[in-house]
Amino acid sequence: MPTERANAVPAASCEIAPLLRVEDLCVDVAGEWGTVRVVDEVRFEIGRGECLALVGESGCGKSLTALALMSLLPSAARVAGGRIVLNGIDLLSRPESERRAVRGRRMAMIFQEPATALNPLMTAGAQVAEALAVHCPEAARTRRARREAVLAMLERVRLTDPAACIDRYPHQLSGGQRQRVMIAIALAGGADLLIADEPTTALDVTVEAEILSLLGELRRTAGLALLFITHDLDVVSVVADRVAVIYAGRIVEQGPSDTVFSRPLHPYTSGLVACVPRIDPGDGPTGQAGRRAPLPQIEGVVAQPGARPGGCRFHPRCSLGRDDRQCREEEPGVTRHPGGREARCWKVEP
Amino acid sequence: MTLSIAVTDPGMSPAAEQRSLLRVEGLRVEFTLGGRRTVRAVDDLSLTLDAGGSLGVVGESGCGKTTLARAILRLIPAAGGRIHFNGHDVLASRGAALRALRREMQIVFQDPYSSLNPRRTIGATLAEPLEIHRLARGAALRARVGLLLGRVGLSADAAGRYPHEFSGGQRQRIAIARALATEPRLLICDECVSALDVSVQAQIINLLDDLRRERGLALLFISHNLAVVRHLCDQILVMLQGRAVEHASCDALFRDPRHSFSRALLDAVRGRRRVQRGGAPPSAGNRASEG
Repeated sequence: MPTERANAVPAASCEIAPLLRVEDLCVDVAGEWGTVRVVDEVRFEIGRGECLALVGESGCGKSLTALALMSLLPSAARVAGGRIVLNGIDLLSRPESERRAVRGRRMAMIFQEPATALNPLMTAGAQVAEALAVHCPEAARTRRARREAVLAMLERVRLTDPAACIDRYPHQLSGGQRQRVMIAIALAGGADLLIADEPTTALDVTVEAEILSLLGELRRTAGLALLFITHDLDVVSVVADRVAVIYAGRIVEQGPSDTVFSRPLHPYTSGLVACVPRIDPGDGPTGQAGRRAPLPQIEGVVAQPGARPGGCRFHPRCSLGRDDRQCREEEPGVTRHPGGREARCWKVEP
Repeated sequence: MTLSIAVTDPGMSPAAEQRSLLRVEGLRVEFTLGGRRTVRAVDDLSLTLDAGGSLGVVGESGCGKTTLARAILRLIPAAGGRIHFNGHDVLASRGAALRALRREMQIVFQDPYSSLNPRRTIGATLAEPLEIHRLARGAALRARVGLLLGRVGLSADAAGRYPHEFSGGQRQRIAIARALATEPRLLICDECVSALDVSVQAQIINLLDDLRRERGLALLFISHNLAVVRHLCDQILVMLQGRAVEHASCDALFRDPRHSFSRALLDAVRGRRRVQRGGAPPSAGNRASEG
């Protein structure tokens, strides 16, 4: 249960009215264990032009949170509570037709593997044109105007030689080019918020750097806000203003990305940071020893939904909480900390 | 892009070359594209790896890393060059001699979901290489399977279960156990931690490092993750368009990369900080897909 403090004024460092406010979002999935809550009272805000990263291990609820925002949950899953407020509109209280109008026009999503997200039977240009036709039909009535609008979109995502790429099929494009086309499609409707689910995981580091640079440019020039879902902490520390760490369906720590990673509050965050090998040993935020010393590990695995432990959900894997009575028996609430930070842990001094 | 002069100096004396477990010289692998067009996926590539050593192979997708691994294992034919393993000529080996070599060289693949047979129990999967190479049978076979599971941190009762009952990290442990079954001297890891969460990745990296130290297992570690390579490997080979553009000790390469492409790779990772500030990231240039 969130403490009273958590229900007070939102702590985020954004404008008076954030672009997106998610309040106590819960998602239930009907599965072999019966109905289980896979996203549990998740709350965060994203301001205009801001980037929030959602990080955690597989199975913690990152992608389901994103799909819930887009109303794209698979049929076995449903939103069981909470509010999603975009631009002042409470999406969950509106009919599907209205949410459909928001999807693509106010917020859009890109996925990890652009090769499977694109239609292999349509050219890149045709897929961008389709998105334009759906979201702003008035913009391009003639064939020539359509083509020019598509070219402008492809230029906006910094595709080299858009005139050549426009008539190519996805298999004729590289991974980086495909992801740029995906971004062009996502932005065709003029979205203010882009949800990016592991957008660079399938890409080479050099291409990844280019895509991250493009997203940064779109934030600065167009005020695009980003919800960036990833398990790559190095990427987070670069792209995100703020980070929310999610474990077993709950946000366990949230705050500005530089301080969260340099001085983690929650033991899970510390564990995640410590177990990533550093390209320049000694440069790591924890100052860990150089290579050859074994990497610090987080013991065990994420508890399956339906088999989650009582008390703090992280306690069986936590060096501080494993043998602590309070950690084993009572679930900690959210506590606030200086610098716009919050954590859900008994061991963090308020 | 312009390629500066290739640096291929792992700092090996002729005597050291004699000691090396794996020596690849001028390897070429070609694929036919239909018609008379061919792609040279691995082009005049040379490398050495000592017994108990660890060599990281890095480069972008499509640069020939996996093709190199497959050619070393004789899973695909080479068009030219030589591969020496423990004094044997790999490319010239046939029949029983080749089977004996394969016992000594094993591979772990990237995707632990597709590399295990979903219809065989873990025990049957681990017993298979032991049976093929006639290393154990009956009770001894079952005991060996139990030992293998223990070595990778799984309990012996895993033998009776199926792959779908395990998480990604556990499956990768099983794939490593299968590779270890024949007691190889060389383990090739093809992006074997790329699909795993960072927490599980750390566990697998530590396991591989333990195996290398305890059993003198040589690692050929293919990865696009430079930080993981730096943590795990002594030597590093940078590939670009099928060629080795730099072969150096990890310390030397990370301190002072000689080839422009090695620098571009390092900058792409280190320069992520600059990317955020809007500076143009270093470009790797255009990679032609054809040789």
